[in-house]
Amino acid sequence: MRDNVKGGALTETTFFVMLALYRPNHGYGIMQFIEEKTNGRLALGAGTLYGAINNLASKGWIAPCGEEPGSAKKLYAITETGKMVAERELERLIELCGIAREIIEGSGGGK
Amino acid sequence: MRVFRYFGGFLEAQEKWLNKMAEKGYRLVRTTSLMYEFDLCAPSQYEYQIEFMAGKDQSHVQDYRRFLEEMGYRTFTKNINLNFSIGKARWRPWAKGAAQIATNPGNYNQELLIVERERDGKLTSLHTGQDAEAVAAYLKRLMNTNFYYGLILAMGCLLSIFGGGSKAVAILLGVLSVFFFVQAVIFVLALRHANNKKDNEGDIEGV
Repeated sequence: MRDNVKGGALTETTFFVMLALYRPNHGYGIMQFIEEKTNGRLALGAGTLYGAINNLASKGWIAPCGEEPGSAKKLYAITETGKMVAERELERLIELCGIAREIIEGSGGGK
Repeated sequence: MRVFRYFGGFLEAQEKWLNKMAEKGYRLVRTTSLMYEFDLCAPSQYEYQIEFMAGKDQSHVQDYRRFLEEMGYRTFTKNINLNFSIGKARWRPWAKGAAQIATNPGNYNQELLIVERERDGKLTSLHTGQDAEAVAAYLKRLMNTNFYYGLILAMGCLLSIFGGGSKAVAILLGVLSVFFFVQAVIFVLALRHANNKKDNEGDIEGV
């Protein structure tokens, strides 16, 4: 699935990778972050994660930021542009949740 | 332990075989074009996946390998084809003059990446979906190339028989031509398998 930039919708994988990078992190760290936060519901393949990281880096939403001392693992972090995109996505999701709540929970009330 | 095997375009068969070896307690340590070398390990300690990398440029492959190794995986490169290339140079019998020697772009002879990781019970594949279309296109090209080599050599063989050439040359050319025809047939079968798989995947997605 592609991210629909115009409409603002990000894929779940994309959004999670960006959230994982609010502090500098490496590939393995991102994977752990996502597994932890979703209690293992979302388990990314390494190849998929690699693709997502490269894709986001080429868009300028995340950027490499050196290597982890000791392990020499490549670190990435979210950029200012990336933060703006993430904030917009949050607003979109809040709006979506609001509408869904209105309809799904509202219809149960027999209005 | 060294084992000689050639899987050609049958990526899944190769993957299955490596995993069966791992179940028996053999861990891959080295690959060459026809040989796999194993060390002993605990049974089912590792698992293997094969990834199709043909056509990707070298720096991309290096970067991806580094990424996987950072994840704690081990990677090996593997050829999909047997050919007449020395390093990056390749013989193209149908070209003229100096153009007969071509340099191979990208990761020639390292079309496959064998990825080893510790079996942790979490069976996640490297990708949500392999690029079945790219695999099929590549197999088709290999099939054509091998068929072409076979044909040229068969003609050479016939020429030397009826042209009164030496018997040894005729036999050599004949054997080589059979070798390439067999390879071409292997790729035809692998291609058919890959196409079936592609169609099935399409069905599932269509539902």
